This record gives sequence, structure tokens and C-alpha cells, in this order.
Amino acid sequence: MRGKFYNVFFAILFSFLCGGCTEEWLEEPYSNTPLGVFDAIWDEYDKTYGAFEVKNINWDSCRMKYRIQLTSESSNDKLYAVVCSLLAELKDGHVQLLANGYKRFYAVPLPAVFPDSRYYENASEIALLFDLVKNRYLFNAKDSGSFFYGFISLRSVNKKIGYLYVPGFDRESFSFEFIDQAQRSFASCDGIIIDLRFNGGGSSDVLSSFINRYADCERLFLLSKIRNGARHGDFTDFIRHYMRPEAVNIGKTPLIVLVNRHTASSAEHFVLAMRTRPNTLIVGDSTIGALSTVVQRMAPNGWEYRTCPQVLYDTTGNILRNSDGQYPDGIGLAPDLFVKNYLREIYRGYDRVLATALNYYEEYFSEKIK
Amino acid sequence: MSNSAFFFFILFFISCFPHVDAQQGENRHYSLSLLPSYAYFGSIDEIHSPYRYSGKNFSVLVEGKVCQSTKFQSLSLSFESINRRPNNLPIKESILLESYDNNRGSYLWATTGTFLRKQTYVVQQNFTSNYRIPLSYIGGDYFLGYFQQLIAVNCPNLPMLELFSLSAGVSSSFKLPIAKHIQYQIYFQWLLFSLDARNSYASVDGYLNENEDLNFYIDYLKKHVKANSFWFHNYCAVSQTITYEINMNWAFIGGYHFAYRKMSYPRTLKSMSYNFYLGFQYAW
Repeated sequence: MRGKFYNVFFAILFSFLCGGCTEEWLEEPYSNTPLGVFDAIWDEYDKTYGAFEVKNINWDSCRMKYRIQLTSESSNDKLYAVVCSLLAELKDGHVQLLANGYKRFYAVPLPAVFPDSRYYENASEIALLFDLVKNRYLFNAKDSGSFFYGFISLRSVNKKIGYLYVPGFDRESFSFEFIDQAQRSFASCDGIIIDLRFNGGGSSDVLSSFINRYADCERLFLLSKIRNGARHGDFTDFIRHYMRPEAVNIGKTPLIVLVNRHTASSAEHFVLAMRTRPNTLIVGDSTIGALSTVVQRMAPNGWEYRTCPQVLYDTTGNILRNSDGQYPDGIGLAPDLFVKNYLREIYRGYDRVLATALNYYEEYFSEKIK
Repeated sequence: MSNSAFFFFILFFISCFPHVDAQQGENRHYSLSLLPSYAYFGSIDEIHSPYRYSGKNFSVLVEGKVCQSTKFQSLSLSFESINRRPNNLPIKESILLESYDNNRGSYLWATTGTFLRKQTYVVQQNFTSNYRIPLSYIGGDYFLGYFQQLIAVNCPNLPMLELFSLSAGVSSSFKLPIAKHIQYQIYFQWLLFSLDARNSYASVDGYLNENEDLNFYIDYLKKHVKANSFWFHNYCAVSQTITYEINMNWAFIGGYHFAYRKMSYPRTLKSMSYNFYLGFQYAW
């Protein structure tokens, strides 16, 4: 009798346990509806975006303003337009929406390739600039396929300048072997030019090693904090960003960094690091202002978006600000010498930004000789 | 019925039920089991995504046991390799391609082709004393270390930690003879305390110029470790096994294992797994 009771009991228990364990135990918080997609995106920014307080953005009121424009019946076009408007409020160079079937949305509109260009992304116009540099300005140029370097002789003084073009800091395409080959050949140069125009950034650890090749000594160049809680003011302690001499180092040589409106992300961190280095000048246009580290997320409908949990501070622990007091995210870092390239000048064989850097070196060395 | 109510119901029911220890008088001291299984694993880790990533695959459990008159120890090693995909997201319909083109190179990659891989190696040791309470309850405790779920999401070169955990808790095992040569066992495990390392809240830490050697990972674990009680880290597991003794040495084993976890630090992690297993045990 007792054995039968056991059998029945365990049969019931076994089936209950097996049957009760379904995926419903892992309930997802958002649905694939226009309102669900909006809520998923708004919530994730609410929980991870870093610069709400620095930029004085009221994210709750943004939700009220835009959510009301949607219903459960809203079309994809409407949803895309509303989400883009929401993200535009952040004015952040790294905030982007990648929606299948739609144009990639940037919270800070992409500038044209050149001020007088008709295009926002045109590889042939960019190629025109760097072909000009290679063919008109450099001698003994070496090209890795992605990077190239060469030498420029100044006209009025007998000085040799090393030039290195760095298109990005992607781990896959970055070649430290080629960079170190360039660095070694720059040992005999009196000045260096690093060209970061159209450099869209890349991997942080690649950037760190690259920065260290130009470090004159161990130097703190930046502080940052990262969101670590649900409230807008929840941040980690300061993360200290140092540069330290490493590998084939040319930290003592005068350096000019060329930038433009398409210099972004890790390339901007390179600019921040070089700002603290002696004998260094930033020449060109303002950068784009995509300063935070990026986290990519997916909405329930498969759209992807990028959020930015990092806030930057100067080395004294104050929020990083431009000379006009504004946080540079979405605005960009201002150069020391402001100059722009124009397509019409490039067609005529003149790179105004590089020429300005060379003129600066001419004056710098002429004064030194005097 | 809510999840917690369900488990408290099971706990209460099992604890109240008097039973007979089937191992009384057992004179075989060692056993080795090989249990192929079919496993499901699903989880939501809001650090990376609020969506459920789940998958199913075959796995295997190897378990060794040492039984003494007053003690019982077991060592089990399981291996699972499950590719989990966000099944509820419309990935197949909308492979999103990202491209980047400057004049020096162009890059094209599928951003939505993400998956999580779960590989679990569990080494578990149970120390079950002969301590009994009037309800013929065998009480024990366990110390469980598991290295679970190195995952990579949207970041092809940076594996991100979902959970590394060392935990201590209680377990109970009940064995009952159902018929001649057939035995039913239910095993319940409940976490009391754990040391857990998870990824940081926003899944990034900022670059620090560190070389990614062993010390980097040890420091990473130290930096992210947190002590949790069962209040903040709910974990429980239930196993049910039916054993058919073929002869003195060999037994045929089939069963079901279920585990559920929920923790809220630094963001919500929920996971659930179940295995159906079928295999053999050799005892001597």
C-alpha cells in the first residue's frame, strides 16, 4: 500500500517538476511593438547613458514628449522618426541608431566630407586628399595598404619632418609592426606629423599602446567615470588614464597632430593625451565629439543602438570642458591652430591643413636657429 | 504560482515527507556514472541585453562517488557547450550589416549575428554526514565552485564575464525503493551564500593601459567580486533520478535536473536550465 502511494506521489512530483519548468520563467521585459521598442531604447539609455547631468538633459521629459507620438499601431517609419528625435536630444557623437532598412542615424549629424563637398561619406574624395599627400608632399613614402608614412623636407630650414597617416585604431587592421618601422625611421627626424583626419577611432587598447609610443614620460592625461547604477548620478570612482613610454618611443620629438570634423572616438582620446605632452600642437578643424566609450544594444525589433556610459574629467578632477565652458561631447575638441581643407583646393593640389602644419614647423625651427 | 512560492511548496512538501534511506546497508563504496544528457539553457543578463538567449544541445556528466558508513562524497564534472541565440528577436529576418569605409579600407560585419556560448565545468563535492532529524532527513552541505558562461556579445574580441561564482549552501537527498531493483532519488540544492564576480554595470570599464595577462584577469575578478546571501542571489536546483539495478555492479540511470538562478547585482541576471539524462553507473 505504502509502495503504491510512493509511486503515485513521485509520478505526480516528477511530472509537475518537468512540466512546470518552461521559458516563461525567463520573462522578457519588452515586447516587439512600437511602444515596446521605444520603452526598451529609452530605458537602456536611462540606465546606462553617462552625460545626462553634465549636459543638463531631462530624460523623463524627453520620454513624455516623444512616447505620446506613438501608438501600438504606429508604422516603422513613424517609430524610426520618433526614436531618432529622442536620440537627437542627447547631442552625442557616439549615439547612433542602426535600423534595418533605414539610413544610419547619428545623434550629431555627420558633416560633409569637406565643407564644399556634396557628400557625407565619399571614399573617393577622401582618397583624393591622401593621394595628394603621398604624391605631392612626401618622399620615400612607404604604404602598408592601410597606413603610410614618409618624409617632408622643410624649405627654409634644413630640417626633416616625419609624416604618419593613421586611418583608425581597429584591432584587426592596426599594424604595430608597421608603426614601429615608421617610428624607427623617424629617429633622424626633427619633427613628426601624425595625421588623424578621417580617423574614426577603434579599439581602446590599441589606442593605449599607440599613445605610449609618443609619451615623453609617465603622465596622467585624463580622468573618467562610468555609469554603474540605475540613477543618473551613479558612477564608478575615477578611472585614471595614463600614458607611459613604451616600445619604439619618440616622446621627445616635436609633434603636430592633424585632425578634422571626421576625427572621432579613440582618435579624440589621442588628441586629449597629446594635449598634455610638451612640444605638441593640434592643427585642423574641431573633432566630431564622440568621446565616451560605446556600448551597443539591440531593441526587440532587431534595431541596434549605441549608448555611452562614460563621462570625462580633466586631470584636476573637473568635468572636461571646452574654452567656452561646454562639455565637448557632440561639439568636438578644438584644435590649437584652426584650419580647414576645401575640396576645390585639394583638386588644385593644395592640402591647407598639412601646409599649415609645415609652415608652423618652418617658423618654429627658424626661431630656434635664431 | 510564483517561482519562489513554487520552490517553497516543493521544499515544504519534501521536508515533511518521511522516507526510507535506500542506501542503508549498502556495502558498495565507489561508483562512477556516465550520463549523456540533452540540455536546455536560457538566460537574461541585463548587463548585456534584456532579452532571453537560449539554446539546446547534448551534454555529458561524469560523476564519481565515494560512500562510507558515515560520509558521502561525490565529484562530478559536466561539460555543456550550448550556443544560445536571442530566439525572440527577429534576427533571421533582419541581418543588419554595418559597414565602414574610409579610403584605406572597408569593413563589413553582421552586427545581429550574436550568440552566447555556455560552457560549464562543474566540480562538486558533497559532504553528507550521518546526522539525522526525526523525519529521516539526511542533511548535508555543499561547496560548489563553477566557472560559468564566458560570453561575447557585440564585441568580437572582448569576452565578457557573465558570472563567476563560488557558493555554499544546503542540499538534501532522498532515496526511496519503488520496486525491486528500482530506486527513486530526489535531490534538492539551495544556495545560502556566494562570492560572485560579474561584469560591470554598463559592461565596460574604460581602458587602463593594462596588459591582458593572468594578473589582469585576477585583478578583474577581485575588482568585481561581491558577497551575496540567498536573499540577493537565489539559486536552487532539483534532480530526480530513477535507478534500475541491472546487477551488483551495473545500474541504468535516467532522470531530470532543473536549476534556476536569479540575482540582481549589478543588473538582473536570470537563468534556467534543465537536462534530461540517461546513462549507466558502475559501482564497486
